[in-house]
Amino acid sequence: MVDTKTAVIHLNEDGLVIVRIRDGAYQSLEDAKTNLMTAVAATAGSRRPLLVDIRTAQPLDADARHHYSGRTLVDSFLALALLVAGNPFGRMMGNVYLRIARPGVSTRLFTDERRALEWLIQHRA
Amino acid sequence: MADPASRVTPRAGFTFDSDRVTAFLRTLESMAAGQLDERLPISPSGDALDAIAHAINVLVGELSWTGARAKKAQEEKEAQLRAAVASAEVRNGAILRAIPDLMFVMLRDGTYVDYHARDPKLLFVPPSAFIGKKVGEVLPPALAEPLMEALERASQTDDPIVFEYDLPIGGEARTFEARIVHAGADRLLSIVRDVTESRRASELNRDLARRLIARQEVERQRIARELHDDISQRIALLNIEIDIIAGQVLSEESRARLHALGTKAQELGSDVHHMSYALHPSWLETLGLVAALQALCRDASKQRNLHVTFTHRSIPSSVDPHVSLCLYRIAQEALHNVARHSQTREAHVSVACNADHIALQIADSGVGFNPSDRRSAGLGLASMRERVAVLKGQLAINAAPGAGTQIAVQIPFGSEHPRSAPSSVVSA
Repeated sequence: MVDTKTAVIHLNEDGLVIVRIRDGAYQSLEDAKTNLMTAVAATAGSRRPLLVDIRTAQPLDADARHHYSGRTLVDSFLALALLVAGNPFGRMMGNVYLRIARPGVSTRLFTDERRALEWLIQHRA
Repeated sequence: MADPASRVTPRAGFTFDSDRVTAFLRTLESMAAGQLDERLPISPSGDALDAIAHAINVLVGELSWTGARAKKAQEEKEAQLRAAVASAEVRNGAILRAIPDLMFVMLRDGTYVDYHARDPKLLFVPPSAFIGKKVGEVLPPALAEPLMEALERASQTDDPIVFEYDLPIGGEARTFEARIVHAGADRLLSIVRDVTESRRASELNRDLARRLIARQEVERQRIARELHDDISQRIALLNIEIDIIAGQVLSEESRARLHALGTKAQELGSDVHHMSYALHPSWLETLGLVAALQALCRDASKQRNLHVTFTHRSIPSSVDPHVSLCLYRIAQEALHNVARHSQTREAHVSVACNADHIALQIADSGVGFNPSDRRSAGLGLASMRERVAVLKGQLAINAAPGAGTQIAVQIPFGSEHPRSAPSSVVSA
């Protein structure tokens, strides 16, 4: 498990990379770079499914959002589950990411972590 | 906590604190006014107003991000362009400093608009006296007129127009070669090189070649005369002596041997005569160019086992002896080459007069050669070129491996125009 300034990142026993954005954390472009680099390091060289928990995160700025959806995501991960808060704002935050960032891997929004993990397990290599 | 009375209800089921709505609208107005760095406030409740605020924030953020990226890309492109222009300016400046030529940018109507002169002493007049002025206002009329014609021709083609002229610079006549090219729109670029020294060197070379050739001909004439007047006569006397002795001896065997000796002496005399003629063809002086070339073709056919045809058209009875000798020597050398290298026995020689020049052609259908191959360019061809250059003529060698060889010479007439004469075709 690796702690960055804005996230906690680890590879779980099911082979999924889990990124939990800290409560109320605002992610600058540098934070986004650090978090993504740490998540890639957690894959141990294999493409894996990725869960990003943004339930309590602050909205992303455009720079960070585009960085999270760039080439690195496609090269290192098989699928992306975005865990958002169950309120209108959380869903909007997730939908906006999907619409604007258009990540190049299979991506879904979840409000329930268990279901997100089940979906990701199906996407393991 | 806000007073229930101050709550607003934008839609059934949604109620928002009026302070939030006021702050929302105020920020929205500010964003609409161009404050793209501002963001709508988002409350911890994460309700519908927060969702709307987030959506608007994201859209404005994307607009700002896209604009910033486009601006950055534009700035990078401009920086690259500036660097490229700066680099080109440095390179062009270095080129300009390196080349000794004068350069003039002119309009199609002959107006000088820019110049470069590494050595301003080569300018006919100072820049202030020609920039903004037309050719006719700057140069002597005798030069301005042909220069304007050259500018007009250059403006109609992509090929450079070469224009040579003389101008007095610093009290001395100097020769310049201008290469004029179309430089876009109505502009022309003229690169002018002072070729005075190279022209002088060229003239000196030509004069030296002329003197060498003349000296060689004099020497050939002297040897030919020696062979004809002395050796030939002595061989003839030797032959007479042999005949006299043969008439006096009683032995048949000795008489037969003396007759055989006499025959050999005759053959020797004949060879010496041919050698004398080849060294200096006396027929050129006595019977003229046509008869001399005709004899040359006949002799080449007989002695070198060739079949040489000869035609002539409108050759005057009197051709300048230098021109005659030049054409004769070239025909002689060319036929020698046909016999040695062409691997064919067929050749054709023609000579003709036109209004302003006399032309000679020697053609064969043999193996040919590559004229640009220096190994093929022997002394014979070099000598031909020198002889023609001395008379300000032109020599063209049309040849290719497997496609035969054609040597074409044109010598311009001098001030005296020779009279025309009838044509004929002769097979030697």
